[in-house]
Amino acid sequence: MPTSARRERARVGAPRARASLAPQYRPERFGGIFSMHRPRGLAYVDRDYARSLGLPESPLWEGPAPALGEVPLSAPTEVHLVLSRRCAAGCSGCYVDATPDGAALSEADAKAALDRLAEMGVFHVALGGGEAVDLPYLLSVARHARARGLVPNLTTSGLSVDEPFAREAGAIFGQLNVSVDGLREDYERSRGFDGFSHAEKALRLLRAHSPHVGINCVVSRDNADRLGPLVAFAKRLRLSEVELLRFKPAGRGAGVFEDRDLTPRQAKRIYPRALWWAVRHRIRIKLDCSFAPMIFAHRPPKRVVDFFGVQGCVGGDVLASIMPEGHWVGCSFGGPREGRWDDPEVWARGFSAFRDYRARAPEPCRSCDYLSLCRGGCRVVAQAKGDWWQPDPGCPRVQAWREAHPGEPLGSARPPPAEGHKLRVVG
Amino acid sequence: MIPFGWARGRILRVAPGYNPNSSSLGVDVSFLLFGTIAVSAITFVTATAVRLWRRREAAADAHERAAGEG
Repeated sequence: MPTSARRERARVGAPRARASLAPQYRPERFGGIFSMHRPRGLAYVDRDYARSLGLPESPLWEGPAPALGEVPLSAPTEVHLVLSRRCAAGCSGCYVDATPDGAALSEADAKAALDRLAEMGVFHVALGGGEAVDLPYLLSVARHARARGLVPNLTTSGLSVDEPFAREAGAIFGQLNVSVDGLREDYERSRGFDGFSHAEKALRLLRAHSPHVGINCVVSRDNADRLGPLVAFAKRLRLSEVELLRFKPAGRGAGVFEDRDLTPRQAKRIYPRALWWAVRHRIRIKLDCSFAPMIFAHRPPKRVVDFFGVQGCVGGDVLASIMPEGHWVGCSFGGPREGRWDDPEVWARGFSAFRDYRARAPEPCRSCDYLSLCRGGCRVVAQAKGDWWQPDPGCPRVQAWREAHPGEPLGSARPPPAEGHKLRVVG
Repeated sequence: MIPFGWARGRILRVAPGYNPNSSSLGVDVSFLLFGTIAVSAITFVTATAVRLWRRREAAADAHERAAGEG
């Protein structure tokens, strides 16, 4: 980013003591983004709108304005800071292969990385692991994020959450979610140990200190048809949201993916079910980015899904991760290493394994109305099914295409060898 | 003074809430139930919040300038 743009961003977005809930702003080539705290969320506006608010002209506004999503953002809006691969729970499908002695970012490195993210203009950081709560410096790192104008958010297993932690965490974190993949025996079946009572206790403790507490639920073949009671449970605890996450073939999850991946019928039903649960229980239901093809298969109005930012793989654009070993990746589930967190050039030059799919998308993605939003679905699932550059084989539209073209392999968006993309799944 | 009512340009997208998940990006599908009505309502709320903030900023800047000159 040009130095002048960085100065401008710092000045315009500088939080003032009298208005800690004031939105922050950063210019983008299409216009700009506001990070709002009341109501919570990100608002993307075009150049004219920013000008009408009296915001200064940006060097990024030279030349014609691209459409939103046409070019990568000047920085991610959110970064996943994977603090460690350290966790004693031993979940059978752990995405980061966490062990009790796994690698971790040091406190100093984590804080320095947050400084770098604040300079870049990142708005939100999601702290995780491993089990981030087991790190003695988690709250110190989260306070540092707040001090730098970043909103820290957290997902935890809840196993180590106690009253003092809940009190402090409730005051620091923007959103706190506990991983719960089902009630009681469903939890045990999914995670490989009986931790439901601990998770429930953590939810109650956290909820006593913050209204912004929710559940993260990994949806697999085992639990996809039994999620209604979990949503009802979240409502009973007066939680703010249930976020449903597609099971990914990463870490130890890669070894069990074939058994846990959703059936085509379950995949197609997840979106209407999510809407039903939102109505039935009057609670916010979120679907993660890898479920985007399952949403678009129902052909929701494009203008509406575009407005609310329903997107598929936004790795290396809206989103990126810093791993415990200190390197950037487009997505914490996989993709090539892109350089260390303190490398100032990495955002401008890297992430082509994520950014280049759309331009070379094969059928049936190429002719799909939702390609610009979906971006071919989950790259990590595609990789696990044979080719990083193929359409997501879990997409209902892709499955219908395969049925209509028996024996024909899926196409690939793989770039010519000269461009030399080397892929290695991390996570 | 930042005009409070009509504005040039458009709010292109609103991504509600914060994302706590440290591995993927969640999107709130509840809003999709209400289609374009939700788009209009959220646009209005967002525009109001942003413009209120900018008006306060402009007033504070004017106050600071006046204090500096005084």
